[in-house]
Amino acid sequence: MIKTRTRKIWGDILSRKGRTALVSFSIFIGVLGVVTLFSMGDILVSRLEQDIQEDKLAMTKLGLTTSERATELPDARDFLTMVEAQPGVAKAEGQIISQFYFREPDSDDFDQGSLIAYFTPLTEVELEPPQLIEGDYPVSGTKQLAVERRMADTYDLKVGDTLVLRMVSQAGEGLSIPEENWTVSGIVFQPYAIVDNVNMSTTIFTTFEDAQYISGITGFTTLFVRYTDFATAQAEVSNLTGVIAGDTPHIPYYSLVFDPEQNVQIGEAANISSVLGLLGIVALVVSGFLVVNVVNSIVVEQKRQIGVMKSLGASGWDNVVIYAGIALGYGLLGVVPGVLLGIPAGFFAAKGMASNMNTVIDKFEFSPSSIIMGILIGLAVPILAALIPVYNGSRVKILDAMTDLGIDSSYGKGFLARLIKRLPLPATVRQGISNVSQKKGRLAFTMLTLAIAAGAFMGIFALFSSIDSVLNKTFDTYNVEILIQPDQQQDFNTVRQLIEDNIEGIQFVQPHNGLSVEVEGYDSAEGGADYGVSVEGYDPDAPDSVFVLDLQDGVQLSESDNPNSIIITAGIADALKKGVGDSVVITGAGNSREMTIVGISTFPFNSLWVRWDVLAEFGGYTLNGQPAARNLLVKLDKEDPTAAETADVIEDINELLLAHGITATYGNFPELIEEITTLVRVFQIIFNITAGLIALVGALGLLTAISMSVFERQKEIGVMRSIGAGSMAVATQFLTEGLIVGVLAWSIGLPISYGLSQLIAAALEMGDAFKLTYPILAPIVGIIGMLIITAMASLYPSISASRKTVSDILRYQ
Amino acid sequence: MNLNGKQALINLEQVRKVYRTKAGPLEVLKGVDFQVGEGEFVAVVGPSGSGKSTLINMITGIDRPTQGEVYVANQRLTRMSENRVARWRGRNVGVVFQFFQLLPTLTVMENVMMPMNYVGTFTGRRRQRAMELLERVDLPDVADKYPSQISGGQQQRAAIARALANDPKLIVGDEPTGNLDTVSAGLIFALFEELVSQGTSIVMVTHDRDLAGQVPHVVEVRDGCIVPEVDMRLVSSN
Repeated sequence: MIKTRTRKIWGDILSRKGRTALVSFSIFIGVLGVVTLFSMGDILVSRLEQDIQEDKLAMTKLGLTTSERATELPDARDFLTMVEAQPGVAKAEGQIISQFYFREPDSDDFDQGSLIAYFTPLTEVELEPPQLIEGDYPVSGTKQLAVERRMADTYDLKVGDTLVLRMVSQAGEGLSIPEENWTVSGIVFQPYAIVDNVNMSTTIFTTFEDAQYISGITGFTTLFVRYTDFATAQAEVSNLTGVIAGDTPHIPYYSLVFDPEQNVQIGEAANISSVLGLLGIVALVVSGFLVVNVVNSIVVEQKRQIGVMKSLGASGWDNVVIYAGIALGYGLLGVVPGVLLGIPAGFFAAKGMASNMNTVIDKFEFSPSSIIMGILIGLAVPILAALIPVYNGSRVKILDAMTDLGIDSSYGKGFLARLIKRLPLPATVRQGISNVSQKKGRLAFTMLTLAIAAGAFMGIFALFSSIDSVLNKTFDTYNVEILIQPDQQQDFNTVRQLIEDNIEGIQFVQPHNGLSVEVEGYDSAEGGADYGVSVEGYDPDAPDSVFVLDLQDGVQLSESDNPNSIIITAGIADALKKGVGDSVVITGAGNSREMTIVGISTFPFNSLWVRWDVLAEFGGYTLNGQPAARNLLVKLDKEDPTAAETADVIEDINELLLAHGITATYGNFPELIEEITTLVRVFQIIFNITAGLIALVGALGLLTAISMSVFERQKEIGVMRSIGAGSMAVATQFLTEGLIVGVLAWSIGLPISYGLSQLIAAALEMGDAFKLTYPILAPIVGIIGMLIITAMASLYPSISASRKTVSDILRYQ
Repeated sequence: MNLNGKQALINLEQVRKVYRTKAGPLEVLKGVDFQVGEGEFVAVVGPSGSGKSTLINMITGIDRPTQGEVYVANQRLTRMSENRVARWRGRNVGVVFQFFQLLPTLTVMENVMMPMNYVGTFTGRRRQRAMELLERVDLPDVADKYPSQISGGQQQRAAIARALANDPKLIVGDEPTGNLDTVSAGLIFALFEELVSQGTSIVMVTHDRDLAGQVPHVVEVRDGCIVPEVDMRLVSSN
C-alpha cells in the first residue's frame, strides 16, 4: 500500500514535469534566498563578533588638530596621562592617522593611502588594536611597516617586500621630496572601523615615531577614550573636549560617542541581513501560495480519479496522504538544491559584503542554523500550504466526481453578483470580474502574492525615491568638488593664491572650518552612536557660495549683520521648538556661545552653518592671532566633473602643495557621491530582485490559476466556440480575467507598499534625515508593471484556451 | 442540390470519421451520405455510440471528417480554418445543448447577445433584438436574471433564443429536451415546430422515441451508418 501510494505521488509529480518544475523552482528560489541571506548575515555577524571585542572598543573618538600653540606640543605620554586622569576615563590611546604616498619598486606612480600609528606599541595596544596575522610588528628606526591584509591582497604584498615611501615630512619649497625603501615586516588585520575615510586596502601601520618621521605630524590626530561605562562617556565627553581645547594646543574638531554594547558595525550587518532574510522568507511563503494553487489544480484535475479511488474503498485520509505527499515532494525538490546552493552562495555573499562591513571572510564558512531554518521552512511551507486543497480533495464526493451536468450555474445569488451586474462595463469585462469573483478562494493567494510583489516593488520604489531625494538634496547643497585639509595650520590666502596661480580649471577657492558641537537641548544620539552636530563655517558673502542652502524660513547668513548668526536645519528647529529670531547655545572645543537663528534650512542631515571666521574664533582656529580657515574648498570650472577628473586636479594640487612643504588630506566630493550612489543602487537592486522574485512567484501562481480555469471551463469555451466566438474572443476573455486579478492585486498592494516602505526604512534605521515621501510615479510604475506581469502570465493559458477546438473539448468530455 | 423540391441546406458526401485510439483506429462514421433541405425538421435517433453526435458535429463544423465532404449553407466546411468555422457557425447555425450551457456569469439577456457580439451583427440594436427573441420564447421577464435564477425549461428556451440570435438558417440540437420534464419538453418542441414553419431547418438528436415520432423526418444512425428513413410514428405505436 505504501509503495503504491509513493508510486502514485511520484507519478503525479513527474507526469506534469513543467508544473513540477515551476513549483519546485519557486520553492528553490525561496529556500536559496533564506539560506543565502541568513547565512550571509550569520557569517558576517559571527565574524564581526569574534573580531570586535566589546571590552576593547573606544567609547569616544576625538579628531584633533593643532592650534598656533602647536609649536610646543605637550609630550604625548603626558597628554595621554592627562586624558586618563579625567573623570570616568578608563583608558586613552592617541594615534596619528595621515595620508601617505607609496609605490611598489617596479612602479613609477605613487598611490595615496592611510598611515596609522598608535602611541602605544602595537603589541600592547588595548583600544581597538590590529591583529598580527603574519610576520612581526614594525620596529622603530628600522624602516619597517606592517600592511593591512586587504592592502596585502590588493597589491599582492608579502612579508619582506619593499615599498617606496615619499617622505612628505621633508617636503619644502624648492626641495625635492625624498623617497625611501621600507620593508614589510608583517601583515595585520584591523577589524575595528577606525574612522570612516580610512580605506583598508591602502593602509599601513608603523610605530608612532616612524609615523612622525614619515608624515611630519608631531601630535595626535585622533584620540580614543574608553570610559568606565557608556553613560559616563556621554556625560563627560564635553568636559574632555573642553579640557583638551583649554589646556593643550590641540583642538578637538569632532567628537564621536559610541555604545560598545550596540556596535554600529555589528548592528548594521545584523539589520541588513535581517531585512534581506525576511524578504527571503516572504519569497518562500509566497511560493507556498503557488503550492496551494498547484495542489488545488491537481485535485480539480483528478476529481474523477478521487471519485474512482473512493468508490474502490479509499478513505479521505488516503487522499490526504497522497496529496500532502505531493506537496512534500515539491518541497524536497526545491529544498535540496536550494540548501546545497545556498551554503556556498551565503559564503560568497558574506565574502562580497565583508568589505562594506570592514571585515574579511577568507576561509569557507557556513551557518548551520540558517541551513536548518531553510530546510524546515522549505518543507513546512509547501505542506502547510497544501493543507486547504488537500482537505478539499479529501471531501470530494463520489457522486460529484462522477457526474457531469454541464456548466455549473449556481452563480448569481450573492451580493457580489448583483453588484457586478450593475457595473457599467462591457460584458466581457463584467464576465471576467464575475469569473474572478467566483474563484475568490483560489485566486486569493495569487492575488495576495501579486499584491505583496506590487507592494514590495512600489514600496521599494518609494523608499529609494525618497533616499534619492535626500541624497540629491544633500549633494546639491555642496557647490564644491574638493576639500583640502592641511595637516598644519596654513595661511588661507597664501594657499589659495598658490592654487589659483598654478592649477588650471579652478573656479574658486574658499575658506572653510568644520567642528562637531553639542546643541543645548538637542539630543543628537542615534542608535548606539552620537556623532554630535556638525557646524560648517563658510564665507556667505562670496559671489559663489560653497553652500547652496534651501531655506524654509528666514534669510541667508549674507543678509544678516549679526556675526553670531546661525542657520539650523528644520530637524533641529523642530526638536528644539525654535524658529527664526530665537537663540541656540552651541558647545564645542571647550567653548559655548549663544547664536541667533536667522534661517531654517531644509537640508536633510541635521547641521548648522555659521560664518567661517566666527567658527574659527569659536573653535580656536587662529593664525598670528587672527581667525584662520582650517580647510579650503575648491570649485572646478568644469560642470559636473567626474571623480577621476577631480582626482587628477587633487593630484596636481597635492604635488603643488608638497613642493611648498604643505601636506594635506583631500576630499573628493564626486568620488564620495559615486560611492554613496553605487552603494544605494546595490541595495536597490537587491531589494528589487527580491520583489521581482515575489512577482515571479505571483505570476506563476496566476499562470496556474488561469490554466486551471481554462481546464475547468472547457465546456464554457466549447459553448463560446459553438455560438461563434473566435480565438481572439476566447483569449481576450481569459486575458481580461488575468488583468482584472492584476488590477485588484495592485490596488491591494498600494497600502502594502506604503506600510512596507515605512517598515524597511525603520528596519534599516535610516535616521532623522530621512523623510519618506510617496511619489505619484510609484503607483503609476506599479500598475504598468503589474499589467505587464499579469498579461504575460495570462498569455499562455489564454492562448491555450483559444486553441481549444470544440471537438477536442467534446472528445475529452 | 435539390431535395424533394427543396434546396439542400446540409449535404454530407461519403463522410468517414476515424478516431485514433490507443486500442487502434475507431471508425465512427462509415461513409455517410446525408442531406437536409431548407425548412426541414429532422430527428436523428440511434443507440449510444452509434455515431449520431459525431454526425451532427460534422454538420456544425465542430468536428471534421477523416474523409468525405461537408457542405452546409453552401459552405464547404472541410476546407475552413477552425476560426472561420467558429465565425461561420455563429452566423449560420444555432446550437442547442442538452444541459443548456448558458454562461453562468452573464444574465439571460447577455447570454442571448453573446453570439451577436462574437460575430459583429446587429450593432447598435443587440439589446433590442435580444429582448425580441426573449419575447418570442416567452421569457421577457427574466432578461436580467442569471441562469441559476430560472428553471431548466426557461434556461433551455433562453438557449434557443441565443441560438436564434443571428437569425440562422439551421438549428442543431443535441438532446435539447433530454434534461427537461414533459411539459417543458413539449414547449420546446412547439417552439421548434414554429421555427420550422417559418423556414428554419432543425436537426435534432434525441433518444425520446415519442418525440421523434412527432418529427416529419427521422434518420437512424446505427454502427456509423444511416439506415433508411423510418416512420417513427409506426415505431412508436408498435
